[in-house]
Amino acid sequence: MTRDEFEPKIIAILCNWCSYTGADLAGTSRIQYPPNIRIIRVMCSGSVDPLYVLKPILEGADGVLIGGCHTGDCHYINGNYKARRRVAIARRVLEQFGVEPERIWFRFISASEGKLFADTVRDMVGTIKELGPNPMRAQWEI
Amino acid sequence: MTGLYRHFVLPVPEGIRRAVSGWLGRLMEAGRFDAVLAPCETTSENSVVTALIRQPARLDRVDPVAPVALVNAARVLSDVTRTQSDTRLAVLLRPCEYRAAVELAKLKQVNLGPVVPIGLDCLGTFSPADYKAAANAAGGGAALTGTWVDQLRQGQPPARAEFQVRPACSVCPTPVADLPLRLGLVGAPAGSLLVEASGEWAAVMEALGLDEVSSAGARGALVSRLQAERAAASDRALAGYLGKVRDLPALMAELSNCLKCLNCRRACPMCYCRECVFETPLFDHQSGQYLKWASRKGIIELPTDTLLYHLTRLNHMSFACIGCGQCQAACPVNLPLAYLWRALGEKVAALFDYVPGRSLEDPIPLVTFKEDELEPR
Repeated sequence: MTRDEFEPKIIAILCNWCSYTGADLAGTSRIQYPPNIRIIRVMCSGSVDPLYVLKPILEGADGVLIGGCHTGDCHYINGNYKARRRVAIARRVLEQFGVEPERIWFRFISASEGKLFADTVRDMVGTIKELGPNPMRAQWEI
Repeated sequence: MTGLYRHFVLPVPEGIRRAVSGWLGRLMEAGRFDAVLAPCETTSENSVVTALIRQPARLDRVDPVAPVALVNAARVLSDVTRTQSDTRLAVLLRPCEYRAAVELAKLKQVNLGPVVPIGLDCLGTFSPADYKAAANAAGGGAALTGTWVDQLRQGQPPARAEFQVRPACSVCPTPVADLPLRLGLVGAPAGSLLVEASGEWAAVMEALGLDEVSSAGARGALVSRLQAERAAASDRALAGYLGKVRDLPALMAELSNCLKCLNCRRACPMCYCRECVFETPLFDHQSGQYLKWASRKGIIELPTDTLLYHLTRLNHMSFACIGCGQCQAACPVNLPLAYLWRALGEKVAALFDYVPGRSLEDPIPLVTFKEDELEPR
């Protein structure tokens, strides 16, 4: 596979109240964005255990996008702030082991920001195309 | 946390064990505490376990110097204090055990309210198997301890030609805990222990009739030198280790013998979950699932998710790693977990300026947050 043909697979874990609804708005507004993401809806970004970030990376997903509400907007008061800390830890741990932190994105996207959601996915796909495929895809001893 | 120490001499004419047993017994009889949790030599005289002592007469097994720790005492302290809190309990703790107790107290797994922690000097411990073999060869733990107690007084770690202290101990920069009451062996003149007491404990030692000395003598300088030397050696060793595991295949090579037995998480004082996610039905897959995965990749390792297990633990707990190394001691295949955890734990904790075990007031990173931090994400 040459770099030009490389189409990243990105797992997007989106909070029900903001980012998932933002993705929905992008769709109903007919905003185009690359089809590289597989969306998993969760109730809150604060409910995303690092396990669910690590597993896709170890299985060879090229990136993980976590979407939560803007600060102060979390429907569970502060889940997004806690998610921000968890993501920082996951990026720091993975960075030690040569996994580029740029493969893990955490973004605040509200229910009204369909365009921001589409732009975020486009930016992320571009960044990960630069990084290239996740070499873990070929590993079996995980 | 501690104010200025006052120093008292505890004579040990018939050995450290008898003197410390007697000292604890007198404090118990004076009503300072109702029970003692302490390392105690087993009847077989070749092992030291943690024991809960309720009768002063049974303090005779207490062994505060044997360089062996089967479990991190904070783990059993959790059992003894978590759900009941009215018995005043003296607990003899090594520095790493006190740090674990502080972390567990913040997680409401240890109740330090009724606890009188008493610090022990620790220059490192041997693996229980090594200690047992050496004690058998020496004709019992007391004889074995006699062979290195003078070294400990001079700040030299316990040493044998055949084996060394556990890897975690070899990179431990803290021989002495920051506690208001502690038993000092490093720097204590021959034939004595130094009791360092601050606050109300100084008055208690006075009331016991211990002789006060104006200074700790050689102890202060010895401890400072030890801390500096060990911190430098630890930084070198841990940086060297991290240099070896710069990519996931290198980490996989380090962990390739993992059995996924979860012993490390059971031995870890900071892994306090009653049920680990890796023991839940989340990982009870349908049989066909394994074949599907194997079809996709061509080959998969079984049991699955060993790397995921270690990385998840690092994400969940590494900022709280207090460096006792019980994970590696419990590992049946001797994975180099102690270095990995200490080295990476420091880096992760640094994201939040957190130092595990430092203070009961520092909130645990994952239960708190700041309005503005960690940006850009």
